[in-house]
Amino acid sequence: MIQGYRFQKVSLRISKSGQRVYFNAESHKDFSMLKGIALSVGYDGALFGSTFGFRVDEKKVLDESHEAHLLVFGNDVPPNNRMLFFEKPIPIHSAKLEGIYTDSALQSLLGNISYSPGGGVIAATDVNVKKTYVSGKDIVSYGNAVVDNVPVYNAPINIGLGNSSMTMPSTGASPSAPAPVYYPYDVKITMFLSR
Amino acid sequence: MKNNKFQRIRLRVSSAGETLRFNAVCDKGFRNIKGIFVSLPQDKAIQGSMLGFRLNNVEVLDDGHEVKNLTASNGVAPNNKFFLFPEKIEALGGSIEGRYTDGSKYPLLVDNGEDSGVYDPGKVDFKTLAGYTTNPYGVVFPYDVIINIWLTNEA
Amino acid sequence: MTKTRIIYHPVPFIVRQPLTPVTINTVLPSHIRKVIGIKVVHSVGVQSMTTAAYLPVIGYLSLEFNNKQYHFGHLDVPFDNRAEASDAYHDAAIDIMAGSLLTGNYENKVFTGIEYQKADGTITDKWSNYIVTIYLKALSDD
Repeated sequence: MIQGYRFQKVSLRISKSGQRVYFNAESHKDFSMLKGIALSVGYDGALFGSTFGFRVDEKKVLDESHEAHLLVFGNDVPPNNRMLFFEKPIPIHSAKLEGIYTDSALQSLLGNISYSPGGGVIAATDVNVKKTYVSGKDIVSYGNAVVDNVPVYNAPINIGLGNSSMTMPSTGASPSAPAPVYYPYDVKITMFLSR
Repeated sequence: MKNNKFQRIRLRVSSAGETLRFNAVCDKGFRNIKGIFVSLPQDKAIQGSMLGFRLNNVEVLDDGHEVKNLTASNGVAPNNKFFLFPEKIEALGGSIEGRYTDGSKYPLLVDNGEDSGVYDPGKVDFKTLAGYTTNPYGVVFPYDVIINIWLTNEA
Repeated sequence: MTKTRIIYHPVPFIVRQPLTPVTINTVLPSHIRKVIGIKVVHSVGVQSMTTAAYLPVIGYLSLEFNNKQYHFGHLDVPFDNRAEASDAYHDAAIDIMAGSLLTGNYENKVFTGIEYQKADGTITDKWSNYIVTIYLKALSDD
């Protein structure tokens, strides 16, 4: 019996708030199409503001600022629909798969005052804090991983950086109690391959 | 003659983090496995739990496959609750060897010292339960897992 | 033959005041050939102003493609702090002119009272900046 599909998985462990984890892997050699991707994250509260970027053979599929919660599917979705399916499957032939997960990435942007008073589009260079993808074809195994420790913010919810001219709410309003996040937590990435 | 059958495998999980191995034989008289649905009595027990199985020594789901993706809440219509395999899996009385791992030790994960953040899931990576009077998720033990396997003769 | 592939292009923008509309004006990457789906989500921020897990509308967004030649229409932007994601995109089929602008306006509709922005225009500490992200499901030929 030869299976025509495979769920290739990568697990990441996020040890602290604001951590950025990069992985790369080679797609299984017997499969030629990548049809979908899904994430599973340990705590719901960790989803908001965390981002996941994804590339195949160094071509961007998901931008680094793609929100992780859009790739996580709950128990109310039929099991066969729990994936971001690509309309056009992505051809892979022992392709280099790369991902980068950043815990609470977007929270750090809320206090940014470099926009017009009303606000505005956030430049890609602001979101993609650092160029973290490793270019070159030399990296093919899980063993080569890069972690950036960006400044630690108080996850899961943190508003404003110190240099903001505005006063940011600390205890103001009555914010909903965020779902708790404990570190470390795991992020599992499932990629749906087919022949 | 019936064309479909839901074959059930029932497991009893008695402690946090327990791994159970099980064997079963697909009911003869059905050509294919169409889908699988894992039913757990407590939602809290879903997070982190894993189920893998092999059929006639061929891996169908690897041991790290999340139960999360093989179950569904009551918000999903009954006919959509099963995870349907992307292709037909030939059953014909084949033998199943499976492994279920309880996930309720999940909150006790440790930073296992791998700075990369990418880790080998085969590694032991839990703090010991010593010192915890209850399991952190509040999962009540024992509980039963019911694995429903959808067998069919449909082409 | 040009090979196209699917990409997801986020355009995040920040809302810094309850009463001032946000102008969106950004050049789409030139490798984007066609937009086939659009989704707008609240990213972060609003959860610190409300105890609700869901608000059907926090603001209205209008979007134009191709240097304002194609008006996509208005979208309600909800706030949804529940874990379940939705894969649903608004269907679209917009051929994109290379190097053209994505433009639009976003008007905040929540937390507009005096307790969030005083009469003199200053923002109170009850207000929280928030981020909304426009996701474009697109065909790219890079």
